[in-house]
Amino acid sequence: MTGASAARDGPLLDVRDVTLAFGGVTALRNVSFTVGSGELFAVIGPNGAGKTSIFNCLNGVYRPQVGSIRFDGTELVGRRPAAIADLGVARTFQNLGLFVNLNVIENLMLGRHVRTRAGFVAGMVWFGPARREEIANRRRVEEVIDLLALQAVRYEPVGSLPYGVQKRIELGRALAMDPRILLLDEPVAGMNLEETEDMARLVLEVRNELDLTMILVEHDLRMVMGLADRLLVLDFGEAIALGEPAEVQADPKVIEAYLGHGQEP
Amino acid sequence: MTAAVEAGHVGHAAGAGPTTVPGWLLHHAQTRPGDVALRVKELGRWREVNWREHAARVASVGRALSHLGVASGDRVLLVSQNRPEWVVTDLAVQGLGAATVGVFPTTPAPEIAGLLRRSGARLAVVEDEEQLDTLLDVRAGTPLEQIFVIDTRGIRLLAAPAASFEELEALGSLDAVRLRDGDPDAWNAAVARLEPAGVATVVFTPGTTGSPKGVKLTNDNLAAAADVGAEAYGLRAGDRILTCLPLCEIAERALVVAQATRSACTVHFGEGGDALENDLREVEPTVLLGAPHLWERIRARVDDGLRSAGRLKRAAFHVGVSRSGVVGQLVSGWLVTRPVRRQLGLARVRVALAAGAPTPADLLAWWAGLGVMIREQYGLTESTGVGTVVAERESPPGSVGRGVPGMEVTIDDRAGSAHQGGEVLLRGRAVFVGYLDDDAATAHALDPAGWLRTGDVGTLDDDDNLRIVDRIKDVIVTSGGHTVAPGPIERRLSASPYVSASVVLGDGRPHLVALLAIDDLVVSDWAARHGVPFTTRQSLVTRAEVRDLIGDWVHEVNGELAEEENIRSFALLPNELSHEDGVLTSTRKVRREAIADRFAAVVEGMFS
Repeated sequence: MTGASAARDGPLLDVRDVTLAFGGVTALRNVSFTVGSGELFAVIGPNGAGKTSIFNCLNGVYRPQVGSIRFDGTELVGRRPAAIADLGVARTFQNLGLFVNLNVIENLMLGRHVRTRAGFVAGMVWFGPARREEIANRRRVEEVIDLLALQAVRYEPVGSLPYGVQKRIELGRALAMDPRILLLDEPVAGMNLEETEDMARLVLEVRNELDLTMILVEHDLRMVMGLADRLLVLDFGEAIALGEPAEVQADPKVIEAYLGHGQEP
Repeated sequence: MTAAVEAGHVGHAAGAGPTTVPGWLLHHAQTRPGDVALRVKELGRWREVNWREHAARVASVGRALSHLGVASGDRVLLVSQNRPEWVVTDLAVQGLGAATVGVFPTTPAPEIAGLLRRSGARLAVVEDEEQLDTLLDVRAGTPLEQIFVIDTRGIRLLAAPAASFEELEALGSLDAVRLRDGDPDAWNAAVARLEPAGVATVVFTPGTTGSPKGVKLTNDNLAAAADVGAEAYGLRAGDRILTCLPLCEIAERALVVAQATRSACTVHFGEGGDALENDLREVEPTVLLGAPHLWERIRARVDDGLRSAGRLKRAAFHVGVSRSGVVGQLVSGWLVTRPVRRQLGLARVRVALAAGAPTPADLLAWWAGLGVMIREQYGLTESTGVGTVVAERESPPGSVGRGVPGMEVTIDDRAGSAHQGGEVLLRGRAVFVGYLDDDAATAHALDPAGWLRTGDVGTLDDDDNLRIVDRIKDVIVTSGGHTVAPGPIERRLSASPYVSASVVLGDGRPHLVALLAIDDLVVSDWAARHGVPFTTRQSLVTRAEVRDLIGDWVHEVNGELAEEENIRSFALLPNELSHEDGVLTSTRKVRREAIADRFAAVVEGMFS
């Protein structure tokens, strides 16, 4: 149950000396870390520490000025987001990125789109490989629905569903892509205690059942401490600690970063 | 399969049908092989299983269990939510003359360890990783040797003593049996040899007091309960049943395993949980067994929908449901109740049953207004879940109807410590043979003439309609000498949408008090609408406005009660009651002692 699989040959993701600056503002400075296959890795830090910037570098939305990001040996820096998604990097967004007028199945099917090979014309005539592919996609979507317990809302327009459920659907759409690594951006932001616990349980279940490598960005420390195998703490764009939850928690610099700056908003 | 099918006939009494439930399974496999026995919703689609396939799967599991040494007199533990494998395993075990012990998946681990020791089960079938982990944790010191897991997702390594249910089935497949020179007819032959008096299942009753008692039910008990489905409820071949209540509850078990198999009904396993409403719409069941909380839940959905509907729709609904006046009568059927029933998936329900707990009268009336005649039934685990049932239109309101065919009902006035009625006694083929390893309890429950002491206080009217008043042991005698049955008062208090559960106390005390649990959702909704600030449930129950809201309701109920029955003081419980906390039984009945204990200080405060 622990991150034993992290020991498999070499890291799946290798981030080295990444520096990202917007004009005079440095969002990330010399950040390095590795994530092993099957590992649940967390990136934490106060608001504005650069957590989401890391994700945006990983999936190609931002291009760091310095450094390298290798995913299973392939350099990601310089690639377009769509190309990176094709490699099996999926993410969820802090502010939901769902189509509110489409139902749950349609939203999840969009996640399958990246895996669809049949062309536009073949797709229109519902014949041959396109048909088989569509059926296989629909089946995969149902497996995700089953895993995330979304059966009851399958045909509901996403916009009519509670926030906590929408967060689950977002996770579902990322899973429908059959990712090799999943980036979760603040999956429990804005959730109450009960919803947070539900989401934590789901993340563990997903990881357990799919043996998926995950990176979790979060500022809810309690959630992360219970879930992650290892974590990276950022403060003002710099890595101030990296290690297992227990070591990191005792690190004076981390305590300073979290408690020394007054109240979390 | 020819030999297999012939063996099914051996269990027949001359001219009649089979005499055991597994016998009926083999009978249908031969007489209606292509008819649908089960429908299972998997990955969004309904998969059909016909009687031939169903019987073949049961026989495979039966042969495998037999190969693993399960034989007549043995017990097999089954820890799972409702799913086809539940029924398959149960029938396979019964066919071998062994007994199934069904366990709620929510049962706390130490309790499961106790059940393993007491049942002596060497083999268990569990649903998934969670239950596997629990059994592996508590296995030491119990006779458990092998565990089969139905859903193996999320399990990295499945090693001895655990294996998958699939492997179990493969072990019993005809190919595997032939390969090891086994007897392909072993299971069918065992079915043919079944003794009516052989124990077919041990059902551990949660018991609102003390540790669970193991109720031994025989092949004949189950066959008798199966007949009740055909003779009293009117089940027919091809009836569509949607399983909603846990199979560990005897009423559901009697319906889904015994009665449905006997009458060749099609059992549907939906997605359950929140998807129940979808399941109902898709299945359009003709037979629906619900506990009061289930019927209440569907009503709440309708009420919710109405609240957001337009004024005209609301008015039409109320006129329609009340069926008042000529207009009401005319519009109700076609314009209101039929469309609503169809929307709920209840348009085709012919047999609607409520079991497990007394159903509030207003709930029955509401459903009757909608055209769904819910028939209350009364039965104990000790009577295989059958006893009495309300006849379609004749039974007076508040009664649980007359004894089912083959069941005698009488009242023992000697036990009438209560002011109304005496102890309800039942006698018939469906009445159990005794508790597991507990002769004292058996002797107490079964008198020498075969009457089962139900522990319920009740009355019989001139037409033999039974009315249940309360549990005998719950009857309160106040220090002033008044005898009060708390059950009816609690049911009245819980009738408010704001109250989810209530416990009335006062034995040996000068007056009565009540502990009330609020319905979180409804009360927080009320608070939001009335501008009452709150954060959590704890803060909700401490708000004076909420106390006043509940206080008004208690006052209203007091107005309907005799003076000695009045609730003089009440307290709101800070947390939701749950099975895991030990204050509810697995069937969601309140354990009064546990609650009184847990909140002893609060209770003392109310009396001083």
